[in-house]
Amino acid sequence: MTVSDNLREQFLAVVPNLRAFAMSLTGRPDRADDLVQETLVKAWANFSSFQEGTNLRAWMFTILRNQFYSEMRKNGREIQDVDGVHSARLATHPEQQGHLDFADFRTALATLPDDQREALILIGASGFSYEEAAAISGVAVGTVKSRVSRARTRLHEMLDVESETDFGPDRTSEAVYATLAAAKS
Amino acid sequence: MTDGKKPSKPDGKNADDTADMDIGNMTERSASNLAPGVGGGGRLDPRVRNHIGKKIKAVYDEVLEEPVPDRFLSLLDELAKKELEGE
Repeated sequence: MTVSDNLREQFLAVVPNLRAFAMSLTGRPDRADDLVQETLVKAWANFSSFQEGTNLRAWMFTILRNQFYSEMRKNGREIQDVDGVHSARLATHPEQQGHLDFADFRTALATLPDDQREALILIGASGFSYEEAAAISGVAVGTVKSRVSRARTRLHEMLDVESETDFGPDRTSEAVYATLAAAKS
Repeated sequence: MTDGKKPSKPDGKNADDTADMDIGNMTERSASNLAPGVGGGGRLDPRVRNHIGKKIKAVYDEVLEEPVPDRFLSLLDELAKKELEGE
């Protein structure tokens, strides 16, 4: 296997992760994949600056994120198109249409401030450590922690999780929520 | 809702910080992990956090689990080919 074949395989393995992250940033499948494409080209061209033994996925996420925000600044476009998120995703995934709950959550996620959504996705979905997420976003670890915390609280408020039946017939959680509700009032 | 265990992450990475996102794992997370008021949603009930975490994973994994579109396979082929020709 040549060096470039090897690199090809390594990059290919990261593509699904890059697409999922790009989707969370742009909210649009077409823009997300354009962003991934630009990221792959850039990462390939700059691979000499990647330090062997460090996290390739984190390195490529950083490139993607920087690319996204530099385009944003250049074009002055809105970051998230909430309606676009909704219609685009529902159109590609009709099987989800029965799950209003799921669509609501997607919309709620899209309405989070960008820095909070980014932190929450990196920690809660991409599986990065707080240190890695901090490096990707170019902020302090404490900043990531507080963004994640605020994001969760905000989602909780938006979705009014306490009233959802999504927990199922779980007596324990029902009891917990009853207690929470009582404590609040 | 696609509940249940998700397959482990493609690169096998699973940071400790995401332990509270996993179903059935929520009792492991204690307040001692994070300073109050600073950490990841210390004031939220672990069940709420777990619930939100599962949903975020579901939204993310929906894209993650899609097959890689052909455009990226072609692009990487092209990049690899160019590199070989340039050598």
